[in-house]
Amino acid sequence: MGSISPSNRVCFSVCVSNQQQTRKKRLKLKMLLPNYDGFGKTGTFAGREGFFPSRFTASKSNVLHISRIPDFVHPSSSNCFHSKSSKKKKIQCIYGDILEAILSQVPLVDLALACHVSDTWKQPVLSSLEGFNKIKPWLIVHTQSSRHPYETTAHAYDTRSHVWVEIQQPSIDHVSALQSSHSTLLYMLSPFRFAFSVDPLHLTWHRADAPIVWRSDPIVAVVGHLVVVAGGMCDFGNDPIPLETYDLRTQRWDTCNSIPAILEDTAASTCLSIAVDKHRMYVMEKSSGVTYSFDPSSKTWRGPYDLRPGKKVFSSVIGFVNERMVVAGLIIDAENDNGVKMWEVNSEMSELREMGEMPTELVGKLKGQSPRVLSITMTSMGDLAYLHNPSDPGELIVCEVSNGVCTWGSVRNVVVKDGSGLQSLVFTCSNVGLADLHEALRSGNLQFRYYNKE
Amino acid sequence: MANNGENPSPDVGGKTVKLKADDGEIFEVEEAVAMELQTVKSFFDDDGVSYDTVVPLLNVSSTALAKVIQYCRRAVELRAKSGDDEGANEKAREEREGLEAELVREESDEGIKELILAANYLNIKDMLSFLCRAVGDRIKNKSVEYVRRFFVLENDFSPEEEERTRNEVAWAFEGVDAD
Repeated sequence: MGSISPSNRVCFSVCVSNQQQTRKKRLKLKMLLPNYDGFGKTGTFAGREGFFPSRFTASKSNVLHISRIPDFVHPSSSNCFHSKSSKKKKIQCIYGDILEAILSQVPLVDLALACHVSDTWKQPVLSSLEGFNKIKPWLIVHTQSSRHPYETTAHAYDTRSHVWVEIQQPSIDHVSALQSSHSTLLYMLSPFRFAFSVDPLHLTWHRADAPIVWRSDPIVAVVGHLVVVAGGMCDFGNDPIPLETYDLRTQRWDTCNSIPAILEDTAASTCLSIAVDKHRMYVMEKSSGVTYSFDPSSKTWRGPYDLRPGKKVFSSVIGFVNERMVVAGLIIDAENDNGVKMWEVNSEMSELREMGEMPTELVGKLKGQSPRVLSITMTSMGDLAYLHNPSDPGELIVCEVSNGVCTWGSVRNVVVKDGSGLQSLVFTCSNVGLADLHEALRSGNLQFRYYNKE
Repeated sequence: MANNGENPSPDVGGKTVKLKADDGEIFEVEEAVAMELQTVKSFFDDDGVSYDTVVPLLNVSSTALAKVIQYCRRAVELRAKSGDDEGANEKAREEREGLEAELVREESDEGIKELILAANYLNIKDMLSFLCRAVGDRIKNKSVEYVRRFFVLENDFSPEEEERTRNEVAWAFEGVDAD
């Protein structure tokens, strides 16, 4: 048994023979620096999984010879380095930290495929999504033609990798105009039928009979296993329209007669902003900031809450970011200039704290071709809130909230209404993970294609 | 031998450092450039190591080392150019991006992998970063088979698993972009 004294400056690198597994393998070690982990970020020699040298010897040329236990050293594993002694073609293997660094630059759609490349890649793929380039929600832009056969399309923006992905799938069976009121909800409501979907990629659609009372442009929200349809406008009679809830589990509608007066007889899509958390639905009147919350299990309303962030705010919308309620307010100042700010709401819904203000150049993008912004729509999920101007959705402003601080950016919306105005654009925001992509691909009739401007 | 045509002699007066590649070729580089390689920096940070000592870099080929030195030299020059001036910074950044693009454009797949391993071993953060991005770009939108060939990986799934995957994700094996 030999030993290397610390004062010996010897060079080492690890060489592993590239031959097929044999009963005995010789491994040559030459030490680079006694104190230096010659493997850098890619792992330490001693920590190499499954590698347990059985003895060391030191020769006069300061070369360590190690007899191995090669059962752990699989030929196809990543434990191979540039082999100095081998005259055969050098095979360079990439694994560990480097592989994760490469994979963190690869968009999610390709990572779903990367899982199929090799069994040894499954862990690096998962780790690369937790490292410095974490997985982020997708913003999905849906269009629906207003002419038969009412074809639908979907384009998703992968926020993490800054790429647009076209989701190629069969068109959604038409019921009526496609709409969304919050986060991942997509729905269509007609006098006879009601269809909705809440999963991240909208692979599953629930179809039911329409609510008992027909009303146009109602509040629609999904809280847990209950769907709420409330308010809206009805041309027949003066009686207040009952609120109805649909239970996904029993597939039945139920009614409830109370609804705050302010929410009666209002067109939800233009006047109201809706958000949901695990237990309640929150409805804010955009112009006044007055907000009510509803628990569909107990059928109780709470409120009113005054969530108007200030006198200068003439329109506000509500949402959840990082599971905390936020309000985005559209401001018009003395010079008739627009501004947008974000506020965080405390759990009692009694106080607002200003979190950040949208930079002026991004407000300019929000305006688009119009002289001013008259209303904004917010779609939020996870730590992101996407804001756009419903009259001119050419630019999407993204606000990332981390530790109560806002970071702003913009994304050009590649899905634009065609000139004829025969399409509607609907926005949803989802947490899409590898499992969701795998499930989508397994369904067989869905494909992802990177969007190319050409 | 010592210096080849791609490695011009450094200015007289500046300290230089000698780096030895795996085939024994010696590269003499300016101190500032050599210190871009964190591995080399650590080598000298150790007490009492004089700059005359040749740094053995046995895991790096001479071709890779030459390119690394070339990149680091340009990077150091560009960094010297940028200062407080927003315009100058922007220009320097653009030049650096152009340099990076040029470096990866000319490289074969083997070459780029060799550079990544070298940049990792030599611990050059910026270089490793853009090389990883470049490789990420090269495997984007490619089939599973292409990725396997690129990384020289064996198909270690059982035949049943492979069959199941092929049925579910047939198009993943055909790829979108031509390989």
